[in-house]
Amino acid sequence: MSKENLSEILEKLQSDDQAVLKSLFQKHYLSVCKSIYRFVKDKPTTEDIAQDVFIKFWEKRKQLNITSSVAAYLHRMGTNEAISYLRRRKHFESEEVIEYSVPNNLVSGESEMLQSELQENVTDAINSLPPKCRAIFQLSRFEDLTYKEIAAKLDISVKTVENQMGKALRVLRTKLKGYLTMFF
Amino acid sequence: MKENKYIELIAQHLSGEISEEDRKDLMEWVNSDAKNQALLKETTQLWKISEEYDSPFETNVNDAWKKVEQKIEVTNDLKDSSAKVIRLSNFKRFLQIAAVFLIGAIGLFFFFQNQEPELFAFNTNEEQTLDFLLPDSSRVVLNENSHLTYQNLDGKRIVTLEGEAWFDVKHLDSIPFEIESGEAKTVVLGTAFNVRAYPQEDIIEVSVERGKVAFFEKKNIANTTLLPAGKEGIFYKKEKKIEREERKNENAIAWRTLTLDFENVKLEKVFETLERYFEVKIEADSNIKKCTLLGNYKNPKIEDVLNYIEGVLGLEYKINGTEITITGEGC
Repeated sequence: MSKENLSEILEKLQSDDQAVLKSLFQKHYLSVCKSIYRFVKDKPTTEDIAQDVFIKFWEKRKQLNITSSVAAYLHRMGTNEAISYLRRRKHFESEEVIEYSVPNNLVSGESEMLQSELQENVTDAINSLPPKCRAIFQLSRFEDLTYKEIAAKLDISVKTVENQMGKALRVLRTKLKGYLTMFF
Repeated sequence: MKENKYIELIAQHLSGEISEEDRKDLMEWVNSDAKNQALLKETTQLWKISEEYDSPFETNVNDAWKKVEQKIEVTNDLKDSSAKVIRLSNFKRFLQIAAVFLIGAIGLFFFFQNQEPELFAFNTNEEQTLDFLLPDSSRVVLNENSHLTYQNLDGKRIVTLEGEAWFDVKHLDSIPFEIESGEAKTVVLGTAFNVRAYPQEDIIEVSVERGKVAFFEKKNIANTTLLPAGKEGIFYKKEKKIEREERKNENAIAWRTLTLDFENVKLEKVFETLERYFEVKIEADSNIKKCTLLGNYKNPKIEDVLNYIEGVLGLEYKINGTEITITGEGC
């Protein structure tokens, strides 16, 4: 989205143009859902949070301070809401790794097939991490946040982020061992 | 557990967090053993393939938009209604009546415009009251810090109330008017009455002016009390018990009429009324509470009532913020 376009959108929002919200919703709702779902892992909750994001966005329309793009802004709002939802849940502090096994010896097949299988197994492996560990790993890996930023967001120490990142790599390495040597 | 330390350093290295010093340390360790080298290679590969992480998500965007649109409408309604709230002032009555026409007109417009069950919501903040007509032309006066919704659903008029409101319900044959307030429910056909149901208070109180009202516990319909005009029903939240009492005096709706009327009322009851009306706390010993008071006050200040009590009953009062202490011999 170009800068000019952005200021136009903001201007329209500030003059209470709900049609703009609708078009932003149609354009970005699904991707906001996706970024929330990465953390939350529950579809109805994800949609509730995503809808709240757009409602909050609308309520804040007069004070919006967007420097990058609306898409990035909405994405960040979604991630923040998802994280605060996770943190409110008791389960968040659980250290338990979800047990399941990724086949170590991969069945041979079409490379396309391997690709989607890889995707599935990577997704499963990351999802098997304990909630806090997974959130930390995702924030570092996919949201490009620094350890310091992650620590601030989750109200934990940088040391904890370091430990949990190490733990994430250790668990993922065990789960995905089959893939880690075959591509060399 | 040396390996754990280095896996942490690898993670820092991969996410660009590592310090120069740690990087040196890590590289030394990696180069010292082929096993360590393999570990770095594997985790680097792991970092790369984790890119594949995906959460497929599909949903109906249009349905979702409808929900968002509806929620925004409700919040707009809430804001609109508080915008029309009248501040307490000398013009209060005048403005209230003006608001009745304004909001009534808006309400009727919606009522005829849209036959789908639409949810109307009204709320008031501190020191605000709101006087309006519902879409069925029932009149409501909402006291401060209250929230009310109205919906025409399944052949019923359904109202939820948090806080306090006075109702004059338009009689509509076979379309009951139901008020849900916390655990208590009030059902009427057409009458005038007051409901007080603030979540922070221990009781829910219904005081009937005209007509007849059925007042019951929401979860236990057997626990029903019929309240004719002049009676008051009190639901005790803790005990889950409803008690029927004589309506003490007109003062249950004092917040609406801005009038306090005491006809030989024991000071104990007078103090309760004053505490509620002026939001103060009154301390006095039991001898004083036995005295009775006769008096009628229009739009009173607390001092008006206290000065009168002081003069007539030979008592003394002291005001400290919202705490009032009354001393003297009593009766």
